[in-house]
Amino acid sequence: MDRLTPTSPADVATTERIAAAPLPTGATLRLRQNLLVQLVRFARINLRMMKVISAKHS
Amino acid sequence: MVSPAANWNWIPSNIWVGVGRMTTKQVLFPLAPIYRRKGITFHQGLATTIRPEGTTADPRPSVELRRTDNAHQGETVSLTYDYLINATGPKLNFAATPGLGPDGHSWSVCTAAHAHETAAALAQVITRLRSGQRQRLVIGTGHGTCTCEGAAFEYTFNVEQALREAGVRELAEVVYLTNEYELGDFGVGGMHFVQKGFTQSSQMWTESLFRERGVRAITQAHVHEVMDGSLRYEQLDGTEHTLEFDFAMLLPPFRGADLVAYDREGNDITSTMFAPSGFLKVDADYTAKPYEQWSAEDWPHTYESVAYPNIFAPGIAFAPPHQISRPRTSPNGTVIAPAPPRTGMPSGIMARTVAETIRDRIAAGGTARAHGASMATMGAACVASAGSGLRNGSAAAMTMFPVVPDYTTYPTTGRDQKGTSGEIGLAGHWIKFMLHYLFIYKAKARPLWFLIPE
Ligand SMILES: Cc1cc2nc3c(=O)[nH]c(=O)nc-3n(C[C@H](O)[C@H](O)[C@H](O)COP(=O)(O)OP(=O)(O)OC[C@H]3O[C@@H](n4cnc5c(N)ncnc54)[C@H](O)[C@@H]3O)c2cc1C
Repeated sequence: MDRLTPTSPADVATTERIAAAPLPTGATLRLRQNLLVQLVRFARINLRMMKVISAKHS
Repeated sequence: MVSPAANWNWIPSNIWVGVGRMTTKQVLFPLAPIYRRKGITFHQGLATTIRPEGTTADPRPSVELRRTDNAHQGETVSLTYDYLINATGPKLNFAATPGLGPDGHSWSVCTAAHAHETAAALAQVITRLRSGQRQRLVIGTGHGTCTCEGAAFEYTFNVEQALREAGVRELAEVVYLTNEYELGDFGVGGMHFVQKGFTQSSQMWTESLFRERGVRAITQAHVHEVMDGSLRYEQLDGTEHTLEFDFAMLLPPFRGADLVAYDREGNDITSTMFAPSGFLKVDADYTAKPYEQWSAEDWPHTYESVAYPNIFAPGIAFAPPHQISRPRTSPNGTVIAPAPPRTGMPSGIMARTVAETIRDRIAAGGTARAHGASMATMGAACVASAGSGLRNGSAAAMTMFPVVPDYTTYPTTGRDQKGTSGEIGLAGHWIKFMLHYLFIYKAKARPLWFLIPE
């Protein structure tokens, strides 16, 4: 099976957008997996989620 | 409590079952012992008929069910009720697309059993890749009106990770096929959040992940038919295409459980109580209006049936007033518009709200005012897995407030920037993994379960 080649305008546009999207650098990718950094993020995301959960909804 | 299945399923982790990272046993547990412990009567059966006014012989409201346990398979039982909570979630409507689903030519991860079969099919693909054969894997939505794009997104990136870890990524082409107008829409019209001093869109953020992981994307697609090794789809511009595949996991569209309703005289009132989609009509504004006139106020607050205020429908079971993303139709009249997601957290909040209303009405003799929680005034936290493993995992942790954009209150993006966020990394995976254990603990009603929020 040949590799997919985008033909429709939507596919061409999506493919171009993906190709132009910001590519994370090696350093960013390492930070995303770094245990210490992620431990801090873990706490921060949990806090943020708790804030959204406890926000008024009635 | 009525449920057709003997087991409860923690659905989000079906994604990991579908790539062979978890077993079905890890995502299922039997319901009967928990209800026994809590003093709740459990009927294993499928509700089929609601008689909200009872019958001429017995005016008490009742619901009929067909028992599904081995000992009583097929027997019919009628239960009378004072309050009825219809939390039947979605019916997986594979029939909407010919050839869709495990009985056709594509796989699913919607149930634990489906995900288990899908993992076996994926393992075969990996074996073929190891023998040097190129393979195309198509993952996404199997109909133009599907919801749950987040689940398709998760499965895409978990498969991508599985292929990488198996050392066969180079020979595999991973294609995400979606009914979303653009990547990052997720059926909620996308999101905007502030990061590193800029307002960023979920579209750009998602596209960045697709670029990083080398995943192809086909957007604006309605699948017309799934055949053996290929599928036919139409895009919003009306053009039709055929896509060959070696493996396809495509989510079905949802509809409501096939419940019917009769009044006391036995007249069919199904269309009074339910929308044509099979979901229960509640206190939403169902007036048909164009996208530009949609308002936060269209969304229900109490989940009470308009026809019978002692019937409620929280979660996926209620009929939404309309989509959240802008609806679009191809020149051929094909609707290609994500249905509004009603994910776990909002479903849990709605269920709690309904429980509080019923509690108050029992205490006050049926007159207490209903509690309210609209999707236009509640937030949601979603953690979309992009790969598993305590060291190598990753997930996109997103919060949005509110779920349904409110351009009157938040004119710029429809959502509160302080409550709307997104970040990707290992921490997101830890949260998703932790939620697996926390929610199963909660669902088992273990000590202090109620401290775990929805
Ligand atoms: C693969 C996948 C992954 C997902 N991941 C996430 C995620 O990570 N985060 C998130 O927030 N959401 C996620 N979701 C969505 C989430 O599963 C739903 O939002 C949630 O389950 C909705 O809850 P509900 O109670 O409305 O429906 P359900 O959880 O589907 O419960 C409905 C129940 O009703 C029962 N039932 C059906 N018909 C009848 C009948 N006739 N009579 C009696 N009982 C009946 C069913 O057996 C079921 O037990 C995911 C969905 C899928 C498919």
